[in-house]
Amino acid sequence: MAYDSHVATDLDHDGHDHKPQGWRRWVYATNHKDIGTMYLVFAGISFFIGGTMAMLIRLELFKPGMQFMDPLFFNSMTTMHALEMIFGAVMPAWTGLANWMIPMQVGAPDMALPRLNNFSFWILPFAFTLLLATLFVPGGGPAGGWTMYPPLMLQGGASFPMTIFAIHMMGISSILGAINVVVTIMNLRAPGMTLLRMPLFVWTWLITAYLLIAVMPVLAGAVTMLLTDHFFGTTFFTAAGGGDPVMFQHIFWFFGHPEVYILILPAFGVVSEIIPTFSRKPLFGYEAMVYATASIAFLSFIVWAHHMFTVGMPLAGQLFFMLSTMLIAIPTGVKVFNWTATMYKGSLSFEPPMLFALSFLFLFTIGGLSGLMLAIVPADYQYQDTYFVVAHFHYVLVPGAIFAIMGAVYYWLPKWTGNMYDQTLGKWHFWLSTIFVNVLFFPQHFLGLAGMPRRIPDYAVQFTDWNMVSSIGGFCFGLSQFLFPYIIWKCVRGGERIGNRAWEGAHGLEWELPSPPPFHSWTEPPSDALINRGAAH
Amino acid sequence: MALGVPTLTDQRRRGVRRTALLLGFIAAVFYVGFMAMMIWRGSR
Repeated sequence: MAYDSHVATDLDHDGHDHKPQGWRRWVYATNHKDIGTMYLVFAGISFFIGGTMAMLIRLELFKPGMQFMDPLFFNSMTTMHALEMIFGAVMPAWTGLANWMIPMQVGAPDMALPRLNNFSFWILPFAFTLLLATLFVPGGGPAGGWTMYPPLMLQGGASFPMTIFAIHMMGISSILGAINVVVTIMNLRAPGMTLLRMPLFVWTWLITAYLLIAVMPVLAGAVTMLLTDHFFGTTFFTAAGGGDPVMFQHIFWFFGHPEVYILILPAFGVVSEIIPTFSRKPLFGYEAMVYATASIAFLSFIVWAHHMFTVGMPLAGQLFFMLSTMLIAIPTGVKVFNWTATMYKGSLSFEPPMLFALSFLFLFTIGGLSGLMLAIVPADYQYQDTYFVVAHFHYVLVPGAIFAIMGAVYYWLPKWTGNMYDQTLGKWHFWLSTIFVNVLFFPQHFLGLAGMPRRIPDYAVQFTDWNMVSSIGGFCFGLSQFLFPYIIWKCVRGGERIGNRAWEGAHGLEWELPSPPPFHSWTEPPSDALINRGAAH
Repeated sequence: MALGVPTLTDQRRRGVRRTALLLGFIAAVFYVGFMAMMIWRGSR
């Protein structure tokens, strides 16, 4: 027996549902579902703020010449868009999903460290308020790109220390959240829930959490060195004082490449949950998926300099980073083929979560393949800092990470609310998103190959046509995203009631709980029979 | 203590504390250590 069945107060006789009411429920929240909800709402708000910035970028790039904004504001839009989307939308969305699902999936009553969980979340609104406030200080927001390369970043105005402090807060929030995830998985699994019985979402998050603990301090170190260079007379990155601006790029990308996998590994976990459910088959090669995830995480630490081939490095260095980068294609290929093999001869159905997972499978693979192209050193000399790179990472992050988040929400929303959402609208959301994400980003490959540089507010006239197409795709994609909160809001308000198992083919402990689940998930550890039924990988 | 929270056995509670402290220690060493190392290296 893992948990005592008695509780700390005498209020549990009617099912632990005495939750605090009103604003106290959220400000003092220690419940994993409440905190998960707050993370998801926060991520949604950031998604629309970052999306608005993207719309402004596409508006300015609709045609050549300066239309609506000055170049400095344009550059601060590209910088802030990236910071909002990476640290404000995708990472908090994954943490929200982890909060909601991990205790339910491993048979725990809650996250292991509930108060730390509250603290991790409540740092974020302050961090992003500070970051957004930079838009209103003299000199405007940070405009050196999210990579914050010196010496450009060192020339920032009042926004510079604010941005760095905001990044420190985001990093601390992520580290604390990651510690909570690891402790929950390592210590609160139900008896019988062995590591190799855990759902893939839990596995991918466990590995992601280790990545976070390893690399967030590196980012903190890098930005602190920028800070001391700016204010305290050090010359880490200033050549005049014996420093080296390229060293910043090494340190930044030692954080930055694992960060890419922090954004995408939980997506692999979600897709590994959705595809078996809607194929009505166990996941093909469960253990291979776990080892592939771990391999990708390991490789992510030894590929960082592929982001900076053109700074000039020894041939041996170029070859090492080119080949180590190409190695990532192997475990990633294992995953893609295993998802495909899971569907082979399956009894497929195409509800919204499956549609998003399939779109992920095709479009993330396009992003992965253009990544392989970029890994080739001589080719990268041509592609570096062009729109080809922009197309590549947006394919990985939008129909990759963000579609997986949307798929996850469509998959688990009935479990969270007890109501089925409007699937027709969900399919509309899917088709509009999938069509327009391609209209938005595919032409950017052509622009990049033709030589259009990234991070510029104006461009040569030969790039006009594809920029117009891309902008139209962007506006339509942006507008179609309003369906998403509407569908969720409608589902929360009501809908067709569902039982424990929202989807016919779903397996896993979360589907053994009522929908919506009780305030504390597994007050009694699940039986071996339940775990066995759930772990039918 | 939040209302109605189920309690853990002492053994689990110790495990949670041990893992959390270990990870917290590692993260703190990374966080402070990395900055300290760089500043030390940069000031030589």
